[in-house]
Amino acid sequence: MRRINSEFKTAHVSEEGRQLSNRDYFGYVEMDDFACYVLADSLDAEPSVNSAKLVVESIIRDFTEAPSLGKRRLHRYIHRAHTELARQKSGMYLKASAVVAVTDYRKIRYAHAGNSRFYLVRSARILARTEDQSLTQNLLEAERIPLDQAAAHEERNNLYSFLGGRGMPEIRVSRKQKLESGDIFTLLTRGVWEQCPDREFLDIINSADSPEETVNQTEDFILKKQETEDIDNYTLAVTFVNKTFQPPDKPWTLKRVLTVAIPVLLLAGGLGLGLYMRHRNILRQETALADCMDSGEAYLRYDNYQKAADEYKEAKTLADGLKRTEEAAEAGRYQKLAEQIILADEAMGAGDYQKAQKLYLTAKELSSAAGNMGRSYIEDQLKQTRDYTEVFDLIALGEKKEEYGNLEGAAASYKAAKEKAASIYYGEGKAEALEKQAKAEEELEKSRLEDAARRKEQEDAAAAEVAKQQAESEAGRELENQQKANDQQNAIELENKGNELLAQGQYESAVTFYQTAQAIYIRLELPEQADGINGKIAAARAGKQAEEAAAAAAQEAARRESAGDAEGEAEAVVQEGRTGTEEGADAAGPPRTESYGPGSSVQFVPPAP
Amino acid sequence: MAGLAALGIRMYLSVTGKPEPGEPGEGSWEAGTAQTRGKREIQADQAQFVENRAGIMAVLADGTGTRNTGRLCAQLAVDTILDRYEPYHVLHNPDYFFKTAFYEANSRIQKTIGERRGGANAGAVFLDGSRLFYALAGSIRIALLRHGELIPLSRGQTLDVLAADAWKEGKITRQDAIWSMEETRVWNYLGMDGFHEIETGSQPVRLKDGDLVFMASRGVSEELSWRETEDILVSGLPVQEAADRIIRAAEAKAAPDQDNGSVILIKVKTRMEPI
Repeated sequence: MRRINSEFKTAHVSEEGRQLSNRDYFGYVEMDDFACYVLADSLDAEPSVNSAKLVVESIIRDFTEAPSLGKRRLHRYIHRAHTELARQKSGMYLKASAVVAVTDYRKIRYAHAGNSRFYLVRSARILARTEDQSLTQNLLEAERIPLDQAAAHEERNNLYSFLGGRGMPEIRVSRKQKLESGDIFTLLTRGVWEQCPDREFLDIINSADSPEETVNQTEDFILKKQETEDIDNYTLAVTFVNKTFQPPDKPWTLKRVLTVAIPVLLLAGGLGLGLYMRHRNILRQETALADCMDSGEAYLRYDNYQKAADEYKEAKTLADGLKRTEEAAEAGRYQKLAEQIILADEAMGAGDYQKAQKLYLTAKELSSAAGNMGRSYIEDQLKQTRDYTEVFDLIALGEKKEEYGNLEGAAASYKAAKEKAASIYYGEGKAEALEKQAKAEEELEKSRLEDAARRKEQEDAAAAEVAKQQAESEAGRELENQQKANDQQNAIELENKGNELLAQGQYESAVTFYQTAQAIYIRLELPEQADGINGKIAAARAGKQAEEAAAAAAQEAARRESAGDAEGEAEAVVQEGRTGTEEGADAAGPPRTESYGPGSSVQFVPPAP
Repeated sequence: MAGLAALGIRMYLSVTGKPEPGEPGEGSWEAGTAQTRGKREIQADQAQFVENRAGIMAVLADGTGTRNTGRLCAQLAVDTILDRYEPYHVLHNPDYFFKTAFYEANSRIQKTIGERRGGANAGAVFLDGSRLFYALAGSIRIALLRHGELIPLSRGQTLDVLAADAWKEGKITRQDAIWSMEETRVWNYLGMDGFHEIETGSQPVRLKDGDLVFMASRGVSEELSWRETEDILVSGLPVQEAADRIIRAAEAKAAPDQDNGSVILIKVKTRMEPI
């Protein structure tokens, strides 16, 4: 229908140029509501198949089956043409460049892969065009050096995307473009744009009145160069959009009104419903927030901090969702407080009272920031931690004392700790203190017993020592006595010997024996015996003197013999000498023997020379 | 004995193919070759390399003729070209070398076979480190795999090519030329009475890193499509393995009248910058 109400005029030309065969292909179909223009250029050198023809036929076939201006659909048409090329197994890999334009007589959309081009000309200038998918760097290089066979081949197929081959093409599909009456769109292959630059081509289009004229003039322009240049296959299709489809104005029928009104009403209704739901949701959340805050406060008051933390956490989430910063901050504060107390309680439960104390102190600060909520609980707990710490300190003190050996002090400390623990109903601490105290006392008792045992042992040792000394002194004494007895015996024997000598008249030797005996008596502290010897010594000395006197008298008698009267006197003197000796012998007495008990032996000690 | 030793050296080079560093023609390549007898009784294809200070020369000859004439012709073609090439240190004008060597091969074949019918299609490729030169008498496929695409280099001295050229020169009409497109008989080969000009490249091909030179005789090029060959070559197999794979693929077609098939692959590993 649209086609009848529009005017699209198309003319085309497709020639082999200076090549033996034409391997370009153009085809188009104008249906009632849609039209499709397809142009393809074979890139391979397979002589037995025209790849371009395969592509065009594939796309036109797909289009006529399901005509559409859709982007995806257009992409699919071209991709299927690519698969069709790739499916051909004989000969070389088939490759082709393709450009497609589809229109609904009001708008146009175009797509391409490779270097075949589409131009949309409006008001004597190119309004839209495709970009070649060429590797431009190689082209630039090609300008500098003459091309060998391989390089020329590379340059000819100097594309990074095309249909067929081993890879996947990069199919570019344009946006929909509105057509206006007087627009011209054209599809052209490399053979055209290489020989006829854009500027000349635009001149031709602008000067021509019909598509046929454009085509003919362009062909003439190309063929002018065939004498000098090796012209490739060239194909050009030009469409003059003399009139686009304009939908006729229709009166407002009920159906049309409803067609417009129903979506509007549905939209408005949907929006209203959406807003109402949103409002209701907000109200619900606000109520929930207030509830959470209240119950959180109640839980805090009853010291149920876990529940309070949960409630405030939820309240915070709700407040954040509602963007109520103040409530969110408040809930956050209470939540932190509750969590801090929970943490401290946990530490307390775990027996880490130092840590618990620190945490409670922080909680106390948080509490003062949160309106002194839960302060009394925190202080109670702090007091408890203090007491507990004190118990532990006392126990630690006891341990210290125990370490230094002050068991009594340790026991006292433990006792104090026990009493303290008992006073604060701290069973664990009490049990520990009690145990330690019992242990310390036991140790104390043990050490006492040990001391007693040690003392007794010392005393026993001292007594044994005394006894030993006594025994030793007695033995010494006995030895001394025995010595003394021996000495005395010796002295007696010496004295007796002296007596014997005296009796024999050996006064000199007798004196010596007597003196020796006397010396022994003196040493043995027997003064009586010593003094007794004095008389004997005197007798011996007297005897000696008498002897000397007798000798002198004898000498005198001898002299008196000669003189006569000396005899009487000499006898008198000899008599006198004998008397003295007998007296001395009496004074010495008989030889003494003393008994020293059974078994005692008497030793003879020879007199000193 | 000397011939056997030379053959041994050639085969060795065909596997290791490394020039001494610092020599002219510096560049390194990896070459591989493989052959099939097809459904024929005699292997009348010859495929060999020689590498010297000038570069690497690969010759592929496909002999035709009754009994072992084909084989003899192919051997003569290969030996003539490679024997002439071997002493070079630098090959300044490869196109001239090809022209004279091919003429000499042609005359030797003619002298040798005398009245017997026979000859050889021969293709030669010379790489000097930075460029590729090729020459062709008859129909041997020479192509270059670059960036995953097998680019044809030789056109072949067949009637269809001749017709296309004649049309370009304006000697025949387009219609006549199009009718001749199916005609793939050769109009020139070594050993032919009235030997024509050989085909050479219009200008040397500047090599790029990773280029892979592909040469094949009819037994391969008629069995495997361009696309199948390309698929095997781009698979990135080592060169010798790729050559074997191509031959296996050609054999797998099990054509009732498969000709002798040979393939030579030369992979450019490093190339010298052109002077």
